[in-house]
Amino acid sequence: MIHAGLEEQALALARRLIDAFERAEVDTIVINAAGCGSNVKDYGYLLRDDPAYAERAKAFSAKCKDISEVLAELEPRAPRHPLPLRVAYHDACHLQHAQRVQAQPRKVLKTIPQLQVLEIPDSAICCGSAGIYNLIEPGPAQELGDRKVLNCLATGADLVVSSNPGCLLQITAGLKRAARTLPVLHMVELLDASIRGTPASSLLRNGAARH
Amino acid sequence: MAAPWAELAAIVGSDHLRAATPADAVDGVPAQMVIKPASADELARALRVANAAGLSVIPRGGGTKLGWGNPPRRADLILSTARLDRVLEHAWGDMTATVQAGCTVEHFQRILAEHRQRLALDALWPERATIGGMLAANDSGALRVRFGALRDLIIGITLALPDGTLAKSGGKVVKNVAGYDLPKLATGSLGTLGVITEAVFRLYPLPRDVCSMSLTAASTDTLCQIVLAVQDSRLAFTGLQLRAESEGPPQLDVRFEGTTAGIQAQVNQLLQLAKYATQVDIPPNAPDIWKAREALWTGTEPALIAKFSVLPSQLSSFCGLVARVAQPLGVTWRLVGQGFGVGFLRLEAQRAKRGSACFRSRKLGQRTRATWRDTGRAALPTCDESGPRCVGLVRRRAATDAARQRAARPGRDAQPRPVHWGNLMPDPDAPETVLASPAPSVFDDHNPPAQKLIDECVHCGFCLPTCPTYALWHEEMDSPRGRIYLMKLGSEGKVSMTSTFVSHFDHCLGCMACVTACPSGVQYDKLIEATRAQIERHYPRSFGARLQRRMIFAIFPHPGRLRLLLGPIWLYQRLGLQWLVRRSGLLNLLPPALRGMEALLPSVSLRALRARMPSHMVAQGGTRRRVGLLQGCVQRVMFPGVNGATARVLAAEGCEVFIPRGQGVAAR
Repeated sequence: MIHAGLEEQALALARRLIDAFERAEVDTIVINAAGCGSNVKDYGYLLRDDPAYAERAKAFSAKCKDISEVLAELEPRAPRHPLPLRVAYHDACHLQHAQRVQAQPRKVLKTIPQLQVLEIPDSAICCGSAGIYNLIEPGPAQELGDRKVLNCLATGADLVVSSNPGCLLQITAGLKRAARTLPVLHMVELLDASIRGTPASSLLRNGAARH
Repeated sequence: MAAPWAELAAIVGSDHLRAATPADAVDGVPAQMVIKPASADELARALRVANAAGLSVIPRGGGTKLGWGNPPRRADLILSTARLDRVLEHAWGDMTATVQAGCTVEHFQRILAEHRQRLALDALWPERATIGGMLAANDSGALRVRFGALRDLIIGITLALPDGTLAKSGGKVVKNVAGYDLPKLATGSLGTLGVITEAVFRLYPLPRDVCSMSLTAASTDTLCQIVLAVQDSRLAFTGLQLRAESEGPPQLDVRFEGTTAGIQAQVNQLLQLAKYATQVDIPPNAPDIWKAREALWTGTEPALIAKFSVLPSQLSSFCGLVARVAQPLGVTWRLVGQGFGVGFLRLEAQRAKRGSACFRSRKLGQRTRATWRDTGRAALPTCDESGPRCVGLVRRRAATDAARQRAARPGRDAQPRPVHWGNLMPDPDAPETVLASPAPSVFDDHNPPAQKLIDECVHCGFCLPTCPTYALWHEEMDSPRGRIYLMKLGSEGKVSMTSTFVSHFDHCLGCMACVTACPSGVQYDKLIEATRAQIERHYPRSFGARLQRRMIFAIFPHPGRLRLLLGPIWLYQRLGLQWLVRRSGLLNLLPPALRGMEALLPSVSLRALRARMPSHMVAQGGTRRRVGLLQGCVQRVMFPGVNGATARVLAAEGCEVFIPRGQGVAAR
């Protein structure tokens, strides 16, 4: 909404979220969607003119962290089962550019034994999802999605991982257009599978079923 | 023919024509006279007279690189550009500058720095070297790795030809593609094509902050591996310089420029790549290490200095060969090479053995496929040998150039037209009345895009390659730089909020890749946010667009409503309706926006419909942190498994997880 310039509605939702989390009294607020993360980290700036919320919003934003940031800070404790897979990591714009979180997800993925993390060419360029962009500007969004999918396929990976639902939808749709059934997963799903000991084969099968 | 000294004195005044002294000798060849014209016009006339009299003319700026190339057979007249030393124009808004050939590089940089800009090139001996000499010798240093060589920075030139013509080529516009590129041709011509009198350069902003680091390792091999790793990485370095010598360990210097935070992030990445280096320093004398090239020319022993050019991947084997060849001959050597494979090598030996070292070095060149240029004695054409033929060629080209431009635009000068901004800007040829009184801004006073933030953009264009819409269409107005310019025009009231104006902001994905790429730290995120809020208040969208936006914001931020839709979507997909709709072409009847939404639909499972999250999860193996989990609105409905996985992973890693009820959404 902020993106789309609908300021008032956005501010109302922001205040509600701050209220909800103040009641929970936590040290860290974990976000697993890059777009949400970049936005909640900005609440301090967004609500700067609201006397009742300015300070609280600043404190709230300071607590917000992406899931990969939290996991990268914690020394791994839960044992990981090996996943012999080649994964292409897609940097979500709202993670790499808006939050400058680039090294952490890679670091977290590297804690999984036998997992090979591949870099996607032209990774700085957006996949075209960008919030509601692929809904209101479908033409360019689709073209960018197709480019991203070609770059993902060029890595020769078994699956694609990212940290943002928008990117996941966008890349899945692009793969469908290219008639490929590469699984697209959230980074944390892969880590969860490794901790729980889900075999790589069933991960690939279930991931592909989302198409 | 009698020497035309009187005629030359008449052109420049007798004070500015004098007999040469031994200090004026060129590479040991004594000169006769020295002339110092005051203007390009005087210079051209003097050149015509000298040429008609068959004099051998040596153009000279600071005289720092006169020894490069062949020694001349004769040096009748030294043509000094010392009095052509002015910066003619610094168009800082356009990031270009016009400068005379005799201006020293340092003076030029000082003038540019007044507007925090620079010629992005670190020349040798900038305090003495002149612009003309630097161009003629095609000098460039470490910055070349980021900003390109001189030929990439020069956009216009004026050359005095031997017959007295002043030939102009290029212009003052950064994107000038018309005609033959004389400026690039003259770069590195060593005075063989004519005398450079003026040049126009594109400029770059001065960085906010600079950080240089020096890496030391036991062998050049290790450092060359790091050179390749750094070049393969995403680091945006502005210097990558290898220093090696016959005694002492080799060193690699890396330089980063930009904002403090950006530099810090890059330094951290570099340290990971450089784990095989034995030592990493931030040298206290950082600016000096980038002048290491200059030190190659100082020394008491007779020496041979050569320029080499190899592929970056051959840098390592090249250093190895130099060491192997030099060692048995008792030759000491030092080299300074840039990461892209160009550098200078100094070989120092006793006079008796010099010839053999020189011979071997040529062999060395053949073995590494290096391009050698012995700056002391290379076989390059000199002015008096091949001058007239080359000059004829240039003149023909310059003439055709102008003729073509005239033919393409009859009735106009051969000047390139300025960039046009679609139908947004008034026609520059239209009568002035349009802009007679300052028009009001198209933005209101509630958080307009801040003028201060707009002014921080210096139009350098670093954002262009990372902007998705620019990558798609190569339209200036669909780039961050163009959009910021549109904001400026909007706030100055020079454009109105038309559909064209709005479309360029609608096209922006808000991916912020430009914010990462920007060397000046422009806060495009704040600017686009403010502009979009203004557009929503002031621009009347069509009924369809309003309806669509209302629908999106009525559904997506409300997980309950979104979940309600899952049932119908599940039926739509499972009953074969989706297949039918897609195959029958029914889809094409939908407006494009709805078609886009349909294409994005993921496969919905009934499990997703039932998915609910617990409100609390206990940490396993003792609590390390208390964390709250924010469930994204789309995430929790479309990918319920992700939130479940997040909570499980956090609990497994020792976090007590709270999932508060009544969460709104991030409201992106």
